[in-house]
Amino acid sequence: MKDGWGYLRGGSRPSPTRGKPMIPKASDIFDQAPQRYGRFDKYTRLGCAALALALRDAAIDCGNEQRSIGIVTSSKWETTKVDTEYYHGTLKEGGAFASPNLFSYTLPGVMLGECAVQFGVKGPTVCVGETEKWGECALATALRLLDSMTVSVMVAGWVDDPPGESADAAGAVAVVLERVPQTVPGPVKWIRRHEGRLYDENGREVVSLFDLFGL
Amino acid sequence: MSQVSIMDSALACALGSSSEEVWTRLCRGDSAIGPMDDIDTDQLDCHNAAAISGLSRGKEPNRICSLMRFTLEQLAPVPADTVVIWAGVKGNVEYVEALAEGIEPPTIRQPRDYRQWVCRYLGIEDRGIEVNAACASSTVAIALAMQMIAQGECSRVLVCAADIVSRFTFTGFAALKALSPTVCRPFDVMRDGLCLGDGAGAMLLADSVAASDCVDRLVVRLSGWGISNDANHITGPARDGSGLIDAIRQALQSADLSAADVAAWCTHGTGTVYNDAMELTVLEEIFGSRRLPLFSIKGAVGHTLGAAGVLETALCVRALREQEVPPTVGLRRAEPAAGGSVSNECQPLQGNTILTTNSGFGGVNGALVLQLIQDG
Repeated sequence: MKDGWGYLRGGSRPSPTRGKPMIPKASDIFDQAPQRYGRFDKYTRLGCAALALALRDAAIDCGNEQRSIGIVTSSKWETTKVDTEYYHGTLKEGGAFASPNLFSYTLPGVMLGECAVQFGVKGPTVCVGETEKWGECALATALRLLDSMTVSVMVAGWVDDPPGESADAAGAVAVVLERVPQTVPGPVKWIRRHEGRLYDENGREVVSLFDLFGL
Repeated sequence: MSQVSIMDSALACALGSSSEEVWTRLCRGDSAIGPMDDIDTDQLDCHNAAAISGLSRGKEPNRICSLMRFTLEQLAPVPADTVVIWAGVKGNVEYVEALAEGIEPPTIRQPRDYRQWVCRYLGIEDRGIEVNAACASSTVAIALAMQMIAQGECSRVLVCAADIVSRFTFTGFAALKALSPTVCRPFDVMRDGLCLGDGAGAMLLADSVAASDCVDRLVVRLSGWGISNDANHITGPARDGSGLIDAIRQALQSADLSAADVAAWCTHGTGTVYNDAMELTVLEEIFGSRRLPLFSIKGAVGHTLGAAGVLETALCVRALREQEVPPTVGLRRAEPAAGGSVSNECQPLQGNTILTTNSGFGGVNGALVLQLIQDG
């Protein structure tokens, strides 16, 4: 199993447990990089990169058009790392010179906001908590929103940039889920819900987002 | 699809330690906003918040848990099979602040820790999820809870949300120039920013079978929800209100209602120039020339971040039952576009449907439709 980044249908397979995540250059991912890309913290870069790759793989053109697509990502540590960096900056001068830019990125939903601006996403955007099964809650929440019939395409992802000794477990993954697949000639995989559990087309239970990659 | 009713709710904030006290003081026009004791603001331009005096961690892991425990104590016993959704924006502030200041950090730091703490405290099964959608967190959590119940995934969901005024958030909003140097005045021509507030809320939702145990035949039903993104800016609202308009239309459509059915709107109403202007644009777009009552509670309780949605929904339940909407505390001279809708006095509610909305950083918007129903 290699470390790195790639597509569901090609490229090298990502590893959620080993190695340091590669953060691709903006030019590798985006036709036009997000306006504030240079200011993004690592959590936001990871999330935005994974979403861009997933949308590209699903042949969803994210040009100028705004779309009714939603995003749900899960994270265990959310933005704890940038939180710490921001807070250290407030300890001098009574917080008078706290960084407004860093503060903005202390909200995990701001990563989703950057993605929404970049990809024209107008559907629901939500961050959810993480279990030990990567992306389990994001996947379940995305399917709930698809079932609500208010949106027909959801991106489900896992994004983490843990602090301290766990820092190597940083990474991101995203998949595009469509209620009635239309954007690609045939869906890459089918998943279905049955009595609150998820199964793939072979009847195997899907618990983590990585199950969809065969990892 | 199951119908979803609000079975119980509890809240605590600087304006009061119970729903009853908060409602009474709110209707009287009181505000909890004042100078802060706990945070040194000498070198900042803003000094006010709606902070709970003497809020301490007590025997709990941190102050958020202490506030949540106080809120949960007000609820009737929660059935063991209830699913819990935790909603909050900055649950790790006490952890981050302790680390930076070299003191022992609290054991609770991640959203999951809070949800599990609630389950342990209530002695119920460890089931549920955690939601962070910035200042729309608990509105989105209620919407997801509604969806889980409506789809038959579970019978009951308890939505819990809490956020506190901390040095972390205070300096951050001050750095963004979002804090009022005076007091919060939603929809006022002289509004100059928001004031933060401590707040916690809990709301038990149930399907029609679980709700049939309820002796009160007058129930408040969650009839619709909507969630959207502005896809415009990370910290500022879309000036044309397009994201919030989408969320409201989605909520009304899912409730099978039209704008004409809405009797009042509980706005996000932060008191910032741009948020309130955006909401007034939405008022015209959704409701046209009709002047229905709208209100914001943030001039009284402050902006309680992730808890705002559950607090406001709980107060909407009360408004439906009392058939009046509370005043917008802090208002002196309303924006012309809000004239005839917003008031610094209680207004009669002529109808059984309230819309409540919240918007947050990252461009997220959440909308809920509540209806007072004579059951059976």
